[in-house]
Amino acid sequence: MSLILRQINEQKGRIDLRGITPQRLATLELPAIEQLRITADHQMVPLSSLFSVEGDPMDELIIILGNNRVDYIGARMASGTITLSGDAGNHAGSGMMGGRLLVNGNGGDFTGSAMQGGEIIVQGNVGNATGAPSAGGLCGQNGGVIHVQGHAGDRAGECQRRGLLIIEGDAGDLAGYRMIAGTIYVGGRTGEHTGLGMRRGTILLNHRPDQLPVTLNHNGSLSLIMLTLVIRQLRHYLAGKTPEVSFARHVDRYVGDLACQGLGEIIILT
Amino acid sequence: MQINGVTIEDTFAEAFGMRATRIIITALNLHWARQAGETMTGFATSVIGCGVEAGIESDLTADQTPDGRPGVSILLFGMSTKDLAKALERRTGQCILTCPTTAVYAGMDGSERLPLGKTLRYFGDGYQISKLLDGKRYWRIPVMDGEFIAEQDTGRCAAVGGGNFLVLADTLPEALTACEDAVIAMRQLPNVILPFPGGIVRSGSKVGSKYKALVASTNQAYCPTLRGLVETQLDDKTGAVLEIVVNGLTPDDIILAMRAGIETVCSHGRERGIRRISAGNYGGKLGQFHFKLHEVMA
Repeated sequence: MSLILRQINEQKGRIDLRGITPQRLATLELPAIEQLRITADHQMVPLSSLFSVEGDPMDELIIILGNNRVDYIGARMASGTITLSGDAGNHAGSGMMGGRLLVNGNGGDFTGSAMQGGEIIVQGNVGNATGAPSAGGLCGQNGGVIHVQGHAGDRAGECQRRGLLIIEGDAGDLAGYRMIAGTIYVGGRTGEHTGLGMRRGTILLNHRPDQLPVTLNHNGSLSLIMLTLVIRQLRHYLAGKTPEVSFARHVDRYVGDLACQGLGEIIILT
Repeated sequence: MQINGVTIEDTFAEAFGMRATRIIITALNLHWARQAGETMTGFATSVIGCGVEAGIESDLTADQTPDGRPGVSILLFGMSTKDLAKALERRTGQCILTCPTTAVYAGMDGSERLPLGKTLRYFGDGYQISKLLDGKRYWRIPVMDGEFIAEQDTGRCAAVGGGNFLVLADTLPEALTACEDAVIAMRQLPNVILPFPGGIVRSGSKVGSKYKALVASTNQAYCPTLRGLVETQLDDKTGAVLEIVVNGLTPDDIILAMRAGIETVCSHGRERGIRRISAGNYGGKLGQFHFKLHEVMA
């Protein structure tokens, strides 16, 4: 049986749930878990004042939310699984190092911010700055996989360094802004300034954008073997929704951003 | 021991501990994958003169390769990790990187690794790009037909080199036909290569020579033209001897390959000129592995 945290007090302020991770709770008894201190509306309160705690502390944690004001769910988790029922607040999976965070709802801003490993799957939409650096940070997603099954806001994949960001729906402006490396796939449409300031890395677009930054040069229509390796990894997450790309197929490729002597690439699959 | 009228001598093949690695070469089609594989494994028959022993392990279909293209699996064997790494780097750089449409991937897991794209990437002169997918790093090196993809490194393992058996026949055509069939049977098996031309050796060697500069020289006891001049292992009716050498990742792989080969040779039988099966050894003092023919065929 899993450990279940059910939100019982839907106060107006924001709740900060950092530190509530499967690997930490697995070592504690229920009374000790209930007395763990969390921040709510800028006050330190016991966990049990906001959540009922039931089940067995194990590697799987189920969190049932009543609103979308619970932040930092799964932040810095290193192992185990968190299944979230409801909409996550901001910074879900922020700095995550391993394990799996499944959001059966929407995610807020900074989902997977600066994550280093593991897997975040959001069944709905996410806000801005998915996988972006935390405030003051220089490096965004540095490993692992973020899979957004809905749409993403602006600055998705900002400063991404490693790992894979999959957005099945649309992405807002500045997708891949100042990207360092890694891979971003957008199944829907993208906003403006996609790939602006990118140094390296790959942005795969399933739809041709209306415009790309002028500092990305058209590289031609090419057949890329590497694409088959990337698509193979995408297929693990997208299954039947994976774009069909064989090594023989030519795709349009843009390179840059030349404004920062970048060797990044935007590949348009259609 | 007799099989189908063929005598299996009570002797053993003496084999050595080696280091091995496997790589996967893919290309636009099997022709170009094989072209790269054959070039890469050329001049790799014996560590005595070539530094490494290498061969194509098998052809691979598109669904067996990382990038969904046809390919070949290559095994390389060296006496030390250093020799193996050096040969792998040079042969990959000169024979696979240069071959149109190819890509090269690791064919072996494990924590002990040999550099592959890790060193070749510098050919990209700063335009190379790395890609980390599913925990594996690939290097994309710009070349004139597009990109050469090379995985960062490949695994290596302890292995066995020098499993062998000798086929003694009435005539050379009879020995050759039996050995050709044996090679076909042995090459169906995984984890082994037959590094000599067509899998067959006609110049079995002994250790040392009357000439100080040579570490190996002809095995006169099995040369028909020296019968009557030296102490010979051949009876009056034996007209030719051929050897099949097999390298494998484990002793069991060698045993399976030797058994398959000897069974095939023996299926030709005494009536098609096969007289005896023997094996090459050095008195048992040099090699760590002794494959006794009677135990292999038991």
